[in-house]
Amino acid sequence: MGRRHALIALAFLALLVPPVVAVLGAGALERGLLQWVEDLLQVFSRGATWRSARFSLVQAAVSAILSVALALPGAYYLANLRFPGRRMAESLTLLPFVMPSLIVILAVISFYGRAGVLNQLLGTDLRLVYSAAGIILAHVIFNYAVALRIIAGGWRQIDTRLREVSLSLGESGGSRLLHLHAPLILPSILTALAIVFLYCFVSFGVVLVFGGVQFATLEVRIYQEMFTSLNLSGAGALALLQLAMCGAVVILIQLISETHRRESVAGRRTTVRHWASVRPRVRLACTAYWAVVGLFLFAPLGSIVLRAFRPGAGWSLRAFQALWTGRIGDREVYEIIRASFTEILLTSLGVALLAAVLTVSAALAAARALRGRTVPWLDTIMRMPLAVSSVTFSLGMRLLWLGRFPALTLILLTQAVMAFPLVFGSVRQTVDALPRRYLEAARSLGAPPLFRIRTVELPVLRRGLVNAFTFAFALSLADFTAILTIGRGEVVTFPVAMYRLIGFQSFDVALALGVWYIALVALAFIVIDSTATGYGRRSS
Amino acid sequence: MIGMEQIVRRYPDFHLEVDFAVQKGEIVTLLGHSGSGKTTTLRILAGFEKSDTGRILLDGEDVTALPAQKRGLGYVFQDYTLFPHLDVGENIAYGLRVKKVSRPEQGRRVRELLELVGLEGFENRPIETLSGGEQQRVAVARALAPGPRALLLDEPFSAIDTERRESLRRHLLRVQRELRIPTVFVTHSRTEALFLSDRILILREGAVEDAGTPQQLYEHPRTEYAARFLGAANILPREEVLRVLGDDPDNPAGPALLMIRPERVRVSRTGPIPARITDRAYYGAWHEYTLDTPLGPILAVTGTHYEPGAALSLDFPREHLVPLVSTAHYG
Amino acid sequence: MFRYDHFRVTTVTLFTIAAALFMSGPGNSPASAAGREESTFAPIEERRGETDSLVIYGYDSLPGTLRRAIVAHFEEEYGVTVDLQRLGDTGAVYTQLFLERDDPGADVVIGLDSTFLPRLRADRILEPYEPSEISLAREELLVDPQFLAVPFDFGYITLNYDREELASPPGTWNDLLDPSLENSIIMLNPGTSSPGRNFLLFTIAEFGDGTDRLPGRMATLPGGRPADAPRDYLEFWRRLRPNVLTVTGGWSDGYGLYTQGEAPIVVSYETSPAFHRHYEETDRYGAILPDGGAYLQIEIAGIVRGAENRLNAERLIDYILSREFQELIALSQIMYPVHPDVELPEAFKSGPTVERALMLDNDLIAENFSRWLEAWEDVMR
Repeated sequence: MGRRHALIALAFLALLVPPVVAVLGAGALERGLLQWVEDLLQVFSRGATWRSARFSLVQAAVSAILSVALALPGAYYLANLRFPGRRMAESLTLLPFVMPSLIVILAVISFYGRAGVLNQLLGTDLRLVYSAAGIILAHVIFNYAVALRIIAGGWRQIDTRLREVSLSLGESGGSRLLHLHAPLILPSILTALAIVFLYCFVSFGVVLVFGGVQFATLEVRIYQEMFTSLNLSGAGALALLQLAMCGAVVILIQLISETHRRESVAGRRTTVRHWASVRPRVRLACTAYWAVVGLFLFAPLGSIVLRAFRPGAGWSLRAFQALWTGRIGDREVYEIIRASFTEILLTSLGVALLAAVLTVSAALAAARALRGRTVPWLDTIMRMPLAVSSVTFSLGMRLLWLGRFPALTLILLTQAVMAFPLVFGSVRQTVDALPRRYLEAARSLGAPPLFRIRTVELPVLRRGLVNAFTFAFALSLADFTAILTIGRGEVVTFPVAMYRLIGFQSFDVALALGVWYIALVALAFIVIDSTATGYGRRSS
Repeated sequence: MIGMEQIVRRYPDFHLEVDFAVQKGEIVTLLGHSGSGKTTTLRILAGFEKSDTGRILLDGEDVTALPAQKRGLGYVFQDYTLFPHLDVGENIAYGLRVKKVSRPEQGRRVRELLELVGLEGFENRPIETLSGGEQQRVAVARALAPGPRALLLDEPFSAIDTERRESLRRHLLRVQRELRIPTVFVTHSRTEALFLSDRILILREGAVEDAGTPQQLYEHPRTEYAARFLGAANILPREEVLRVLGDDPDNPAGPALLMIRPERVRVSRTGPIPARITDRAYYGAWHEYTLDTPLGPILAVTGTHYEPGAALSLDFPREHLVPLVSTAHYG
Repeated sequence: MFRYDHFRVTTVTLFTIAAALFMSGPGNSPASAAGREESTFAPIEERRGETDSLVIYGYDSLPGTLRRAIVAHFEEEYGVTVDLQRLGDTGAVYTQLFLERDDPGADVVIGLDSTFLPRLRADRILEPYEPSEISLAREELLVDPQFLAVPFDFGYITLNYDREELASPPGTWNDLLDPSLENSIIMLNPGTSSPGRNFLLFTIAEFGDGTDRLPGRMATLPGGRPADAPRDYLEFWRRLRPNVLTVTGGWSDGYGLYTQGEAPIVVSYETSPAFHRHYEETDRYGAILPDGGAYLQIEIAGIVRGAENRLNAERLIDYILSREFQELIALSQIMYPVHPDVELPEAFKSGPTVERALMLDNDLIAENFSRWLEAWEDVMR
């Protein structure tokens, strides 16, 4: 077994490490070691560096805490209550996550901004959004779904019999939440905190729009170092600092999950309570919660979408007509985008589907090899991509491998590696929930490995795997860096197309394309989700 | 024929060493407390776990290196582990699907097996609608469907309520006798073991403590542990017994202990051992008495009714006094 | 015009440039390139034979109209097949040229910014060609006396305003400092955005950086330097600060906020209003030319050193400068043609004209920019 673990680890590291080293080490190679160290010290002696490091930390921590706090009740409802629209809620909350950051930011501003819906309704002139509050608001909208999924995954692992024991002992609901559920989902909460923290820590687009000069994160500094002076060793120094800080967080996650790991109990039973069986008070609270969250996530997105229907002053479908006729005045829309609508559609969904298949298969293979076992060092390795900035990794992949392998292959690999920690976590929970003896039963009946996977594992785990697949699909759609870095502009997805239109000042047409994107992604989520019917739906 | 030859498996805190064979039509029971290694033995036999050394033989063929799915052994799990996403018929047909048996043939076999286990018409029932006993019979049918070379049963009655166990045991025995399939049966219940087995292996801390037919083991156990495991036993120091009975120790170097089963103790008004009833239990068909004697408390079973406190005499028929190897040193 | 300035794109490109340079081996970075051994190519005259192909490098957003015009022209006139490769943003184009400088893959490059000139010269990436038509171009656009590159189109960076929010736009720098414009301006971060960088340079060119070397062009205003005018760019920004609503990282972000009505003034191109007039048929937006000034941005084209199809390359430069081609520039690039007498579309005519085009020397910028930026950041944070 040890050898198999070592092989998994080696394969993973062989994929992850060389690109990162190639990018971070380039500065040392060019400047010589001594000069490079001097450059590092110079960067570290600047006040701005530490100001940015501190700001990165604080905003990421606050964003993570708020995202998790907002997601916590939702995760509880998802895992424990069969409310109407439960599956929808889980899929559609991912929508903001897959939107290009610029669109989400414009959405936040169109709702909370100076000329936004909120100010118009209240007749005020709030400019809260142009402060750290704006950054945090956007981060929470982005990362809500990530926190929701991780915590709901944890909650689903809790044996419902424990609740029944608590009930039989006459424990009150509040006490049960505090003394029974809280300790059991604490690891998931901490994992969600750490992961949202990491996402926000390396956040760039959001910070740039809201933050401007006052609120610069390390990622912004890295970019500035490159942009203003092509100073690779300076940028490398900052990137190293960032990597170290993120690495520390990843190790922290590891320590946390170490101390809180509980072996799954055989014969665990998890059932979800029926909507009709809970008290009206609970139903009301659940409905109110989802109404608030729906409003919080989709009111901004809705208000920006409306802009696509109001190009200029009045209501009009002009922006959509432009996509249909392919013309904005005497420029051709698809010439600006450099791909046809069909190509954009096929590329976006195709890349996301392939990447999701690849990620989930790899995660499934790894989770099966580790089934039910705890290998702390291997877990740490699997989580390492969380610490690496996607820009660094994509660039490394391009520098090392482009030309030797097709761009599409590299994009898929890059996306799979970056998404792996999250998808693996979710697949692993699913796989560990299937007792080994089901597979042994199939073996004793003569079923070879692939047959077992096809006839037992996949059907029984379908619900969980489809969930993980949706997540992987969304992570791929949300990726912009690998697509652009490795695709070199030849691979055109919806976000790329939208940015090209915005670059041509056609915000309205870009948003009209965004409306198509939202609709198609929502449709894709629904289609993917519908494949989960069958055993999983019947019993969960 | 299925057998394990000098199988050894070492764990950090456990050492398993077994060697036995099961002939055609035979049921061999691995009997032991939890932690004795009986399930591990079964899992090694099935191929779910590896042994460090030794061979596994199936009809004379060495299958040690074969993975579980190529051994052709039917396995029934303690909780049956019926596939939750398949109905009764699909569960039973699973092994046939593996073998690419045609659909109509699958259906025919499923009906045949359902009839065999007494569940005619259950083909389309979802698993969660079955009672424990029904699940068990489906699990047996599923294990038998591909025509296994042997049947391995891991505590198949432990999840069944006591009232239903008896009929299920009879049922299983009938099925096994009908198919004449070599069967390894794992249990911690001596009742099940005595009832079902052709031979019993008593496992203790990874080693075979004693083996034999149920009757041999019950009436002539080799060790103190085996004697106690298979039923109530009066185990007494040999010298004292012989002294009380007035016999000379014919072989002073023999085992230090003698055992006599309660139902072999002769209770009467006259006999060499004076006794007084201190406790009594009524089982309908028989009475069980605890008697105070010079040898210490003795358990006796008889059909005759005595009043508590009655002064009686006991006798130990020589042919029912079994010499035992003391197992006290096992701790 | 290059507006595709979203962070990821450019971060990636810049990282690529730098990393590619360093990976090509120590001592080969642009700064030291001048000292390295010369690679030799056949003399230009020997490469001026008729060939049947032409390879062009350009950036991503080069409009199809221009591409099709070039392809058709060469097909019809000379029977030459044109291969126009679009390589990403300008940084990516430069990187490609630099990496291939000993074995060029292209004959001509179009669309690089004139700020690349010092580097193009130092790395000996281009070879000179003086087209006969060059005399027709505006004089202020002839940024390279050696004719390594010729202007291709040009535009200005300045402020834009929204007429629906702002009835009377500020006309002078002093107007911009008026308290009535509190929280009304969206600025772009010079550290992360090209237009933002150019606007900072605009203010430095106008107000000077407080040193004698760069006194600022304010003094050359018709009425001379106003008495209460800021003494240097930092004072200007310090006084402007209350009027700045936010500083965004990229043009897309800032312009998005602006068109959403968050603030009536934004840094953008002087030609941006013409886009809205022509393509959206709205006169809602206009350009602000403080004291008649704007910062000049020139896009250039040049022949790659060692070009195999030298003759076709010369023909392309000639064609780019031709009236026929220059007439296509305005609507496709939303920039100005280099010929002063090319008729402009209506949309481009209704705005005020730039009376003072400012531009700082590229070497001066390279030398001081980091210092300027740091000082600016201290004022703005």
